[in-house]
Amino acid sequence: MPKRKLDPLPSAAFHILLALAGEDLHGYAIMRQVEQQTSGRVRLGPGTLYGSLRTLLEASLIEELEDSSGPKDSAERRRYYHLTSAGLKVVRAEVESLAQTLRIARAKRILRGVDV
Amino acid sequence: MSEKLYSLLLKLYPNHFRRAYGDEALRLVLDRIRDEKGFLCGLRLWFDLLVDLAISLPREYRKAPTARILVANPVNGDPSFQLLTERSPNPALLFVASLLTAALFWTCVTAVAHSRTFPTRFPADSYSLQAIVQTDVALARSASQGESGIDNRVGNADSGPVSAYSFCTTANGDIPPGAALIDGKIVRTFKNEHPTHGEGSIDPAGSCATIGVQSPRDKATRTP
Repeated sequence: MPKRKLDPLPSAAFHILLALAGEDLHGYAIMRQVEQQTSGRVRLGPGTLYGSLRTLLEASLIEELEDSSGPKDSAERRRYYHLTSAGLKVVRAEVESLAQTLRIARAKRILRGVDV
Repeated sequence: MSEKLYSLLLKLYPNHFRRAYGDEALRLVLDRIRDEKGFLCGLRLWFDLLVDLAISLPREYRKAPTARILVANPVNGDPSFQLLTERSPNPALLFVASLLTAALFWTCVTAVAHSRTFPTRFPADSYSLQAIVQTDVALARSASQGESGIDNRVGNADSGPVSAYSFCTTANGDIPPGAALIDGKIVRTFKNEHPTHGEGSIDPAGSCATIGVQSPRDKATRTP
């Protein structure tokens, strides 16, 4: 099986894919969603966020949508990002891998006393 | 203030990033400035931005796109190429490349022009073709004027101007075995074991000689 381009999936890319799993979001909303889903531990800066978005776009894991409801001026128009089916597969595989790791950690009582 | 400062920091990013995401990155920072008020929030914002800059800047330069050359579909049977690049070539580089190309072209033209003058394998000493021809022509002329006793057969040379010269040589740079003829008369004899035949013509004034040397392994032309 050929090695995936984003294998291993970088942490920022994983959080972005996870944030887009629920709905289409623009850059700032993705940053806020990631911050929320990591309880404030991860705040993506503009360089990391847009660099990761471009990498995900090139890998066809997400796609870009134009904001048709926004202002007509292209400079003011926000770009929304949508999770593709390939992106969904990748994030699902990553989550399953993390879940497997979590099961092992639980079996070894590494997470003793932690409710996860 | 923060907006201007971040605009300046954005200029540190490579062109491809600024063109694609510069406006959105600036807007994201403006959104954060709008939503995160207060001294501590501002401090955290700038801490995040500077850490992000330190992490993402080298990565973006590493990912800077390079010019890609693709082989396109042949057009009418001829292969064609497409150069895909995101920016036009630097004018200074184009100028330097033009100079180098012109210098290379001049060098090639000069080398080709000079390569026809004389084969380098013939040393320019007394055994060179030029020296042999000049000596033989002088012998023939002096013989025709009855001045010296060279090879007996040379004395039979016509008294008119020399118009043809031929000889045999191995063309290896050493004294060539064989015979040198002027207008069909032998002016010099050599032991000729592996002959290479050469022929030449000399203009009536005797100022220009053209010699052609031919052998299975060698060809040369000389115009002194």
